[in-house]
Amino acid sequence: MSNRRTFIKQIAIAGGGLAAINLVPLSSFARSKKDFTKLTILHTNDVHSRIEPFPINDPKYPGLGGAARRAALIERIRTTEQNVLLMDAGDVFQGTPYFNKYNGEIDFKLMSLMNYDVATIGNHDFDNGIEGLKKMLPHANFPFVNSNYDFSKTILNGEILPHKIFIKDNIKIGVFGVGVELEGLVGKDLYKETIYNDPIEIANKKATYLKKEEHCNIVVCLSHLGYSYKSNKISDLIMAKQTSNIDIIIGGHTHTFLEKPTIIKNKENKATLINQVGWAGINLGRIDFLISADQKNYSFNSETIRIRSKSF
Amino acid sequence: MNKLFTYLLLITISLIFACSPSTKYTSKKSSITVDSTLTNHELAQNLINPYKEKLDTEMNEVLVISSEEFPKERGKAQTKLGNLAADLSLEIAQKIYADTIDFCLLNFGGLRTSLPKGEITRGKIFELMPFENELVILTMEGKTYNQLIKYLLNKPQPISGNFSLRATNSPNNNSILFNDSYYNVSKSFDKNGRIRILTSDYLANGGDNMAFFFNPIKYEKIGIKLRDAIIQYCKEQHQQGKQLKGIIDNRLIIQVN
Repeated sequence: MSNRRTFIKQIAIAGGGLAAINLVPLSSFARSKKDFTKLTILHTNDVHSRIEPFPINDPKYPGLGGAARRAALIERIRTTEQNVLLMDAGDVFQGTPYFNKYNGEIDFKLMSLMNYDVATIGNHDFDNGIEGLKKMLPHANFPFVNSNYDFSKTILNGEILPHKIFIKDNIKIGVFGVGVELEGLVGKDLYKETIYNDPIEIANKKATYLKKEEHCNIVVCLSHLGYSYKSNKISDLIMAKQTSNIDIIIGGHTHTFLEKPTIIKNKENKATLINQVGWAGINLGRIDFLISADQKNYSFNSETIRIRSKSF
Repeated sequence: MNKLFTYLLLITISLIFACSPSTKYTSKKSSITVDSTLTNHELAQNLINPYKEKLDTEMNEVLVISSEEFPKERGKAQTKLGNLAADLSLEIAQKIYADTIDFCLLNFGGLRTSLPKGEITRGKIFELMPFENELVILTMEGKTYNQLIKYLLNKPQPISGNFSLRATNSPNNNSILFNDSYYNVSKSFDKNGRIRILTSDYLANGGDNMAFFFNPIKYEKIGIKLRDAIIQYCKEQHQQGKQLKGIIDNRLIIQVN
């Protein structure tokens, strides 16, 4: 049956190539891949301790999700793609008895097994307090990034990175994180002396640093701000418009199921992508960037992969 | 056996963004796919199994039967799930607390999953209410109603008890006007003009932006977690041979049809 898969893949690539011919001279990637570097970003958000798939009698998501299936899917993608970065946009914790009983241990162990590269912190990752989060960090073999929570007066001081830079082939990727306002959302007894700073100001500074000083080709913001709100509360949509130098925002918090990335014109009238794949590990987000050898042409393909562990 | 099943049609979109003169972005393909032939990752499953076995023993206990689904819904003034949670919290709390509780206020955001029709397990209640929130009773000044009503008209939340708020097309002298609509309000107080509100400690501490709960006259823990109240209610219903049934009534109506 592998023929069928190859066939569909070829159609997809041919289709992509054809579309590109009409637009910009990017079609060469289909013929001569060496002219381009491909970077595959895989992402989840708000998994909320959904270790097992939803049961078959669930009214909304029967049979969907499941960490063991997600691990298999990610492993398969890694067999065909060389440059993979796997990220999570926060709220790994809380939502099933796995968290009540094991406090996030199995969540981080599974993410480590799947070789997550980086994650940010969501509001629910504070649910057992900053002590509870710190206690679980040894189970994660990947770093956490956040730039707008000041942990310097807390026990998390030094445990959370401001950013992380990855190099894949000749491509440099800078990843930083921003988190949602904690007051009114998380009990003070949980976040203690953590200070929340304005994410937009921080994101601008951090993205500009990564782009201009570190010369990152791709700057990723892992955000737990939320996709959008009816009110003027800071969201990914607002952040994208009011910042520059962010190429892609991988979002979370609002459990928004996007079918494809939203493209926003940022402060400098350049494109910033925003993507978010719902919650509970139901979907895996995939964005493939193709970056030309002269690093002046970028294109991307996106795919939202629904994980079905049990069939009807 | 690697078969890729296309869930929706491959959506081929083409977008160009004129970015800086040098950088071009193009998006050629977006799709949603389901891979139905994946099997579980063996190492991941092996990691999960011992945790799962230990949990299942406790969590698979059936507490009650539900006669219908209670879906987690957004953007509604009332949901069956919200009414169930608020009604049962008030019922259980009133058994423990000696004085009259005027009403219960919870939040939709705290009810984290849908309840299915059929067997409701302990594990499902943990998913519905994963937080360790405790039920508390706040004694407030009567004027709290003003802020509360404004809050609820902007952001409806589950309520239960002697408090209702209903949009009306035929206002009377007691109707209130908010955002060009009239509402009839039914409130209850004690003899000192105070109210006792049942809620969770999370909301009492200003969670979900319920700032009107700050500075209560009295803050009393009643000694039961919200989740344990739900579990107790489910068990009691089952012992009485009853199933869970959904209720939508006229306790909170934001828009007149």
